[in-house]
Amino acid sequence: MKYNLVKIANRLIYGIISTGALIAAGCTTTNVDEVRSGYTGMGQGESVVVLGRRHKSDYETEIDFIECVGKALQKGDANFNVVHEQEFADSLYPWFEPRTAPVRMSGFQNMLKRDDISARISAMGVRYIVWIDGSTEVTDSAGSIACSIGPGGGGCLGFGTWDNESKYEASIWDFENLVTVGQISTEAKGTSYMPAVVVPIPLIARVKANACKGMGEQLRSFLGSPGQG
Amino acid sequence: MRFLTIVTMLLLAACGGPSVVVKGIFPDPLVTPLPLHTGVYFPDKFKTYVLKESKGEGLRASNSSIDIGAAQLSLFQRLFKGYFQDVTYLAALPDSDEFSHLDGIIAPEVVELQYSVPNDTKSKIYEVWIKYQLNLYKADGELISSWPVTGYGKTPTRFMKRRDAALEQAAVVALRDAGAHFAARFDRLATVKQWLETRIAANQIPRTE
Repeated sequence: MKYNLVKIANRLIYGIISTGALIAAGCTTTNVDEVRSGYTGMGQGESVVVLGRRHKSDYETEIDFIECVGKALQKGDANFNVVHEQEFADSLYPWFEPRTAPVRMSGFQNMLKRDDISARISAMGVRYIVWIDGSTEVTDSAGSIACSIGPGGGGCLGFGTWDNESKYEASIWDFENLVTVGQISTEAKGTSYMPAVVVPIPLIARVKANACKGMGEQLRSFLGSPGQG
Repeated sequence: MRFLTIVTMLLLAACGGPSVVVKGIFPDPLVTPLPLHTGVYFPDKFKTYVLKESKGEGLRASNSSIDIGAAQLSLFQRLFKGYFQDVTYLAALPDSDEFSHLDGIIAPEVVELQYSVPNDTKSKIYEVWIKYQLNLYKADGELISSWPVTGYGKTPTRFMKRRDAALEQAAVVALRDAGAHFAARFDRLATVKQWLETRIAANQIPRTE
């Protein structure tokens, strides 16, 4: 009888934790801000390239985030032509490596005094260069999970939780007019859970994916409409 | 029995140091070639450079190796081919006037290669540093200039990403960075600038035999 009560109580606790975690796992908050400082619009055959900033020592903008934003720009009615980051960097090697890439528009203007660089970017049909700077970090974690294995089998017991935070800022350069036309920033926060009773069940908050979705949709709207200038 | 052997091998592989052969494919540089005929000498040690390290003792001993020889040879061949109108590869540095038709000779050497994995630094990145010494000689072998060129590359840790793959990626970034360093600094060094100006001016004057 006592054994049954313990068993029922364990199942109840597991059920509460799992249900709570499942509900909370979907809770990612995302904020997107936009600052426009110039008109935008894409002509026939023009394209956009999305590049990640990688010159800081403590972090670098992830390649998969840049790819994700590039794919988001190709969705919907706008269906922008997107030049792949690696293809762009290879075509312009060694001028868009972390050490040599221009950080500000004034540096880019100086770089374009070299006719070969300017001609190569024109040949690729690039109208906008979107520089994204930021990363996704684990900001807090708690709990522990212990696993063991023996002749009769194995299993895990415990509970782990961690918070993720994404912060990215995009700066949009207009190659035709050589001005910065706007900035878009996105911040996403979420908590992931890992309850483990025999088998660990990861309930992952899609923080980076939501940040990418927010950034991609905003960029699509920004580049697709002329704006107020 | 076979299962146990595979498991043991996997465990040993997981405990050992990295074993990486860097296989980078590098792009041609976007530069206007200088109107010079330059000799390029790659020492054998440069072409086959492997960093080999041993850490710990007994059961805790781990050996690591990072082979960048072929990758750095490919990088510098492309760089020099892009930077100079004509390039001649030399088997050794000259000690006579047999290469007097050359404007100069350039010879890179590896000074140091270092790497770190997240366990070493408690950071979340894999890092590779490479330091080269680039030597520029006159056609008769006399040293004109020698300057350091460094390259740094990092890759963030990724869930389930293999350590060796991450280190190889960091090494490719470091090699590309060394190429960018060369491009950004080469014609700004006073001695090199002087050599370039002298040789380009000399080439514009028709030679009288």
